[in-house]
Amino acid sequence: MGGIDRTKGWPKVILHVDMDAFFAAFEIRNDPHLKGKPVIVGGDTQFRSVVSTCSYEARKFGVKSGMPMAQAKRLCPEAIIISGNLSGYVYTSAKLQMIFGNYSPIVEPFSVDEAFLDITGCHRIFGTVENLVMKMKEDIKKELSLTCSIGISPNKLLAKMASGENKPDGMTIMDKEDFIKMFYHRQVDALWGVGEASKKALNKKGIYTVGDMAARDEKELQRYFGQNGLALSENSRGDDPSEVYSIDTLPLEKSMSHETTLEVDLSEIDKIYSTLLWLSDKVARRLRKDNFCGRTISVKIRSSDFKTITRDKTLKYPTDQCRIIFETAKKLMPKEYGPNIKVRLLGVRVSHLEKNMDNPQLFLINNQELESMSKCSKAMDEIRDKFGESVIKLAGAQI
Amino acid sequence: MKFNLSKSRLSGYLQSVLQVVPSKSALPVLSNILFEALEDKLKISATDLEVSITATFDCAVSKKGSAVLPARYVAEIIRELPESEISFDGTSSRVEMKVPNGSYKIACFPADDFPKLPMVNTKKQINVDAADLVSMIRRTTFACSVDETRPALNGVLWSTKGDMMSMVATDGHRLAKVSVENKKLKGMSEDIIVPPKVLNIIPKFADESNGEIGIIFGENNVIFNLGDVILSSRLIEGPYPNYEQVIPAENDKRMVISKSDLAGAVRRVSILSNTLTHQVKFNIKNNSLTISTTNADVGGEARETLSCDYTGEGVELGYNANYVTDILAKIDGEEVIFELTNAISAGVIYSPSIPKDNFLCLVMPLRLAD
Repeated sequence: MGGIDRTKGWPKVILHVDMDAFFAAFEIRNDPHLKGKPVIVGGDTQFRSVVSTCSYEARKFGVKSGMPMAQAKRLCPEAIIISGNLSGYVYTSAKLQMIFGNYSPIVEPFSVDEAFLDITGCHRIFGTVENLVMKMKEDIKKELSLTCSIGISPNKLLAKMASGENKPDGMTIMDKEDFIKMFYHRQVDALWGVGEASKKALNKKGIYTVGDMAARDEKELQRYFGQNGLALSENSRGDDPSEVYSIDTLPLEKSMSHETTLEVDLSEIDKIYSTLLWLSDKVARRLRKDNFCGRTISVKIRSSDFKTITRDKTLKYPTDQCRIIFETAKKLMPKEYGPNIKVRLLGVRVSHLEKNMDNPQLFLINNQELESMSKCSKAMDEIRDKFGESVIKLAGAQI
Repeated sequence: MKFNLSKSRLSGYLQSVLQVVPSKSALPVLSNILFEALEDKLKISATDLEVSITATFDCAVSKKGSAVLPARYVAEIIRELPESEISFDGTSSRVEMKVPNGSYKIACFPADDFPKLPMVNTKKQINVDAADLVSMIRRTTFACSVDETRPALNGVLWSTKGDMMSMVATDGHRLAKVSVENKKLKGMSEDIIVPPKVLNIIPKFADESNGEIGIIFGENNVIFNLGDVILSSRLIEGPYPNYEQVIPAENDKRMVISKSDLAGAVRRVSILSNTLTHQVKFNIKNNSLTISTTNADVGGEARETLSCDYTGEGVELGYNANYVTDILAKIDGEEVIFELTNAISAGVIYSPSIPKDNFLCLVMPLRLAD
C-alpha cells in the first residue's frame, strides 16, 4: 500500500465500502458464542437454499456465497447455520448509510452491505484520504461493532476490486498501475462483472487472463460480445467512466428487482403466478418507498435445467403499483413454463425508473381503478411501516 | 392451387392486407397471409386475432386450393418485381411464383393452423355513408387512451340511437364527440367499443365520393363490408364511463380566434415547454390571448400574443400543448371557439361552422403552479 499522497492528481477519489461477511458478522456480534466458529447465513435450512454469506472460519472449508446449502453442509458439517434476520440487516444497513452520509454527500448504496462514495474534495476536511477512511472505519466499529474493507481508487471499478484485496478490516489504495500489476496475470473472472458464462466465452476466444483481454483490440471484443465487449475491454484496462450516483440522482437506467430460488421446482402455473405476485409486491413496495415509478417490467425465469430467460415489456405509463406489475409479468410468462418446463427461479424487475412527481394534468374522467389501487397500496405501506413487512400480504401471494 | 394475375393487381390488395399482419407475434402463423384460390376469384386474408382483413377479387384460377405464405417475403418479392404477369402454382406445403425471368419458391405454413375468420352475414347489415363514417373516425380516434389499465378507454364508443349515430373517444384528459344523422339505422340501438386500429384502416379503403359502407354489429365483433375488402374486429368490453356528465352544460366565457394563428403559436411556444407536461399558459383578457411557457431545464421562456374575440372576465389556464394542437387539427373552418369556466374546469372547443351537438372536443387544463 503506497503513501496517501498517491491520490493527488486523481480527478476523482472513489471509495468502495464492503462490510466483512456482513450477515454472519451481524449474527456473531449479537451472539458472542458464535465467535471463532464457522457460521453460515442462508435461507431456511429445512428447504434447499443458498449460502447468503458465511464467516471467515467457514470460508476456510471452501464455503462461498451463492453455493447451495447442501454442498456447504457437506464441505463444513460442523457449521452453524442461521436462517437470518432480514429486518435486522436492513436496519443496520440504514444506520451504515447514515454514517456514510457524514463523509460524503454522494453515496450510492450498491447492496445491503456495500456502497460507493465519491469523496473527491471531502478528504481535505480530514487532512488526508487515509484519515477520512480510518475515521469512518472507527465510526462503523464504534456504532455497529462491525468491520468493513475499503477500496480507494480513481474510479468505481478499481475501488470495487481494491476493497476485496485485504479482507477483513482492510484498506487498499489502487490506481491503474497497481491494477495492472495485481490483476493482469489473474484469470478473467477476477475482473468485476465477469462471471462463469463470460469466462467460458472469453476462454473460447483464447482470452484467459485479464492481461490477455486488455491486449485485445476493443473492436475485436465488440465483434464477439457487442456493447458488452466494449465495456469489458475498457474495464480490463482499469477504466470505468461510470459515476457514483446518490439515491436522488439515480440515472433512469437503474432498476429495482427481486428474485427467488423456489423451494421446489414449480410446475403448477397457479403457484408460479402467486410467486410472481409476491415478487411484484416487493418490487412495487420498494419503488413507492423510494418515490420511483418505472416503465419497463421484466420477468426472469430459470428452468430446472438451469436455462435462464428474461422477457420484458415497456408500458405506456410508468407505474409503482403491484397489480400492474404483476398483470404485466403474468402476461410475459411464456406458456410452456409450468406445464412443460419446471421453474427453479423467478424474478421480477422494473426498470426505466423516474421520480414519481405530482402530475399537474387534471382529469375529465378519473381513473377510479388506479386511484383505488393507489389508496390500497398506500394503506398497506402505512401498515407495513408501522408493524413490519410481513404483517400484511396480498391474498394469493406466496413463497 | 394455381392462378395468374398481374403484379399491380395483387400488389394493391397485398398492401391493404399487410396492414393487419402484426410485426411481432407470439403465434408464428399470424406473420402469414392466407391465399385461397376459389372459382375465378382469389381471396387473401390476414389477422392479428384482434383485427382481421380479407380481400376478394377476380383472378384467373386454373386450380382451386389454399396456402399460407409468409407475409414479409411475399410482399417484398412482389414489391421488387417489375410490372408483369405472375403465376402461382403449388400445394399447401410449397408454392412457386413464376415470373418472366425466373421463379421464387417458398415453403408454406399448414393452412389448418390459420385462425378461422368471422363469417359475414349480410342479412344483418346496415349501410352508412362512407364520407360520414370516415369523418367520424378522423375526428375521434386521436383521443383514445393508450393506458392498458383502462381498457374501455382504449376504444371508440360507437352508439346508434333513433336516427343518430355518434362516436366518442377520451383518454380521461381530453374527449372528442361526433354525431351524424343516419336514416338507415332502422331504430337500431347499439353501444359498442371499437379498437381504433380497425377504424384507422377504414379511410384507406372507403370510397368517400359516392360509397356506402356496410356494417354488421355482432355480439363480440363488428364487421365492415367495403366491397372487395372485409374488415372485422373484436370489440372491447365495457362499460364505457359516463362521459355525458363531464360535458359542461354551460360555460360563461367564450373566445373566438383564428384557428391557424392559434395552432401556429401553440406549436411554436411549446418548443420551449417542459418535455413531460408540455405545459403552455393561456392568458385571455380584453380581446387578446397570450400564450407563454417557461422551462427551467433549458433556461427558456416563450411568449406570443394573438388578438381574439373575448370580452369576459380575464382568465389564466394551463394546457398540454399537444392536446390543443391535436384538437385544432380536427376542427374545420377558419375560426375556433373555446368555451371556458375557470382554470380547473373542462374547456369546450368546437367550430363555428358545425353545430356543437355534431362535433365538440373537451380538454382539461393543467394545474398551474402558484
